[in-house]
Amino acid sequence: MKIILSILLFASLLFANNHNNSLKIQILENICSGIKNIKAMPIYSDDIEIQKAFKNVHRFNVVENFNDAKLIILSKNVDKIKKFPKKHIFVLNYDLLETIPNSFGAFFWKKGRPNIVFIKPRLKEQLLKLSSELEPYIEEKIW
Amino acid sequence: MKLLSLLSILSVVVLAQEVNLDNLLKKYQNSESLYKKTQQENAGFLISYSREDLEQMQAYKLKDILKTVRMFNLLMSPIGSTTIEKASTNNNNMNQIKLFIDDFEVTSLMQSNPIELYIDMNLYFVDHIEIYQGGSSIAFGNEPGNMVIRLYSKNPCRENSSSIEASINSYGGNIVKFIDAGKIGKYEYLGYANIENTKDKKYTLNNKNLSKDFNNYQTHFKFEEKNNFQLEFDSIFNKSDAFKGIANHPLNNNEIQRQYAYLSFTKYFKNDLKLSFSLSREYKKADIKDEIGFITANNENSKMFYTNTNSKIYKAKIEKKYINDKNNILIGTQFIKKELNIKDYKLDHFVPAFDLTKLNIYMFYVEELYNFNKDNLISLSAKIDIYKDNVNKSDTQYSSRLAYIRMISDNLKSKIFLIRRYLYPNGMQTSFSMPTYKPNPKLKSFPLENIAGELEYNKDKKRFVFGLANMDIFGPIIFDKVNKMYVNSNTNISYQRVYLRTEYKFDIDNKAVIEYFKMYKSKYMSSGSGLLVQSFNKIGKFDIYNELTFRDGYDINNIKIDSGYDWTMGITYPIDKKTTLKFKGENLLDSSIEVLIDPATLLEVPVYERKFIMTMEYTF
Repeated sequence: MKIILSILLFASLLFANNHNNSLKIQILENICSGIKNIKAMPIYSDDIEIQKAFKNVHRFNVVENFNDAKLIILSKNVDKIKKFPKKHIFVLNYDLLETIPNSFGAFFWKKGRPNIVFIKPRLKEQLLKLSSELEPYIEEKIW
Repeated sequence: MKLLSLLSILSVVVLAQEVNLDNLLKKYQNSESLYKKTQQENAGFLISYSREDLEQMQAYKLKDILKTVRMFNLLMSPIGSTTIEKASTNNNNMNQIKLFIDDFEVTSLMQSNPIELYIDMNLYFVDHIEIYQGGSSIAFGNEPGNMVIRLYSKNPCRENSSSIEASINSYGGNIVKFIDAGKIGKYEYLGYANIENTKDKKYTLNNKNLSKDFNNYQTHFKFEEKNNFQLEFDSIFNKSDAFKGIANHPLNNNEIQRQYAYLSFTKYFKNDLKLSFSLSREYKKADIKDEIGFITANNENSKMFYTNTNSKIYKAKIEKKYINDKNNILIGTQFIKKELNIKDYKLDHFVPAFDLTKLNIYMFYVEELYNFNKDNLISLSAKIDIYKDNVNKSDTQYSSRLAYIRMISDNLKSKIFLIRRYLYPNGMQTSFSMPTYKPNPKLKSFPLENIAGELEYNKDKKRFVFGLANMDIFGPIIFDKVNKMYVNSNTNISYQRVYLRTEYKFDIDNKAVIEYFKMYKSKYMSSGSGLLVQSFNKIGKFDIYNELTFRDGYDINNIKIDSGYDWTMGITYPIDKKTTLKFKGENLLDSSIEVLIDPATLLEVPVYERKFIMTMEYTF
């Protein structure tokens, strides 16, 4: 019973801690946590705020170097990305979904609202599986 | 121990619900709402409408918002146009309401304010609206007025899309709106256009048909680079039937055309320096005929009235801010040049003289915001306006304002404003007139003093606001029925107002608002009190909005105008990610308060007819 209680209290603290983080970071944490087979992958972001915040999340393996990363959270178009087709790329700008063929999902503003989208054929191609919480955001193709 | 276990389980369940991704997205959207970034607490008693509010309310037109604003009434003029006037005053009062679209003040020469034209504008390109009451900030740098309405256009970075929206109403009217916004490199753009053909209920007076149908065309274009420059262009054109016209036996084909267009450029420099220039053009054409005719200002009968006017307004403004730990000082100066060109003015006989056709205004203003500590803020502002026109010698007027904002506790906040300012006669009183009265270029401005306070309690899901104010107006402009012109009176007017607003947020999707106001005045020319009830709800995928506005009845020249209730309901249903279907019913009980249009036949007309609107929106 004590063990269960400790786990529950720990979980409470974890959620409470998340709640204190910025909402944008929380959303990205939820997204990364919901991609089943990349949880342990090295992560890198060109957005300094995200990179810094993710370092404080123990379950993520954040790396300093772009080349060492498997999952990249990308905010700006970078030409060198196209040279690394084996990396999993999640973008923060909807237009990047079109310009970067191996980007599998996006978190972006459209029509005044924040949106999340995952592209089904690209998930399949990259052998990525999503948790049930992320499944409603899967689309067959780019809008 | 069991209790502790239960509490822990409960806390996990509650917190786990909070991190639901849809909820997080909504919270993120709410926290990033643009209205939170633009509103200025010290600038007045604020009523704000977020983008989510506007969408759920299905507020298609500016007047859909203005009808919910406390201490103001929507009225209708005999020529069929909607106006907004301070509660208890009539539609001749020409209240000086100031309208901003982004940073541009829409200034009119032909009207006391441009509301007559913009009140019917569509809000499809507008992100959010702020309304400042209780003696708004001098730092807005606007011409003197008693309420400031600020419309903020959508942020291209948040849009990244093209959308089209089409509506039809139960009288056969239709509107098509299109918006495209996004980013090209470091530049952001927004383009908007609408075509509107509004049809409304028809009336009969003395066997003549009365129509207030109109066509409305508007374009709005914004091109900007953040922290560098903004270029904006807006053009609105309205062609409307003239309803009753000037007399009581209007002939068919009576028509009024109005156009307002502006081009505005703002350059942002380093160190909080801002420079802006603008040019606007206002065009008005009226062609009104009456079978019997009307009595002109010269006591002659005329069966026709035709006018064609064109005015131009040039503006230049420079503002600089000095900001440090406790101080925020704004210094600004603005130059406004107004030119009226009356191309044509025809009556059967008499034509009044129009002398005052050029007006220059030089403004200098300063505002100091000082934070004593985190709980106490004081704002002192002063403004000097120098008027020079082609008839009178120059006239110099002063305004001053003291604002004190105190956080009494974590949940309780007070605001007190002391204002001494003036109102300047408008173009419809000094320069240009309808044929039934004469313009009076000798009119002078008159001072007013206002003391206003507001107490706000904000805790968890609840918000209570209580406000009261006293205003003294010294020697206001009144209409002289004998001389048929506006004159400065020797009397003083005093009135008080009180309001109470409560808001309750059930959760992120559901909230309710109840608001009551009352004006205390010796004579009521329109409703003196009113009530607003709003509920915003989400049931499944349906967004449901209900609104009840009440306006109290009053007597006008021994004719009783009954109280009125306007129940509006909107239902929004997203068919898929790209398509949304909307239904709206206005004045569903057909019991909205009416405006007396013709005292002889007791013709009364509501501003909002009972109407049903169906809308489809598609996003590319």
